[in-house]
Amino acid sequence: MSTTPRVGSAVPGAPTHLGTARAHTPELTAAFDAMYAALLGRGTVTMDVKEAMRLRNAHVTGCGL
Amino acid sequence: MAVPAERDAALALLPGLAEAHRHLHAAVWDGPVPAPVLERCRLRMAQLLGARRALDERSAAAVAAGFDDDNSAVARWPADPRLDDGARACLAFAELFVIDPHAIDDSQAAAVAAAYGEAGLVTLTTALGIWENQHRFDNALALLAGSSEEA
Repeated sequence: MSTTPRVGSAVPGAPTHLGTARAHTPELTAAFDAMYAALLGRGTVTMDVKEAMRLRNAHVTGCGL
Repeated sequence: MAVPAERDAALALLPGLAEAHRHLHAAVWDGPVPAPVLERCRLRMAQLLGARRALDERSAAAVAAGFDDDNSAVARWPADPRLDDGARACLAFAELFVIDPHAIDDSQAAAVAAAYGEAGLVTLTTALGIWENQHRFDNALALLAGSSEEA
């Protein structure tokens, strides 16, 4: 797996990371973040269970972030 | 409590989540990647994941842009002479995204960016992520198709 970002920073002067790469699509990123917040912040599943699921998913899919 | 059989009804159990879901799926189609290209990628992903509900849907943006392929035509994309380099780069990227995202290499990502810019590459990757979620959501809950607007 490549460790070099395949997308440049959309923020002048800032290094490439997840946030500055996603800044290429600000409206889509805002919509994604709103969805993410809705998933994490609401519902009857407790936050510790959600975090455990998120980490387990990251482990299974090999996501280093 | 039983989960409703239809996607929109299931999402409606959580109104805030449903609205965020609708807005996110709509936002994908406003980016730099042409809607017919995105639609082919969405359908190809659905084929690979066995997401039958999604295969019955068509996005309004793609239909408005003239997309009218049937699903078998989507599956035969490597032999489709109508597709340009950009569409082919996106479809190849989409297939690997499903099969093994770690196998995507720099040249494949660069091919998408060469056609549609870095914003296009971010748009495609985000779209694939949210469609994969929807396909698996439908499959896991055995849901019927929702509205085409959310496809």
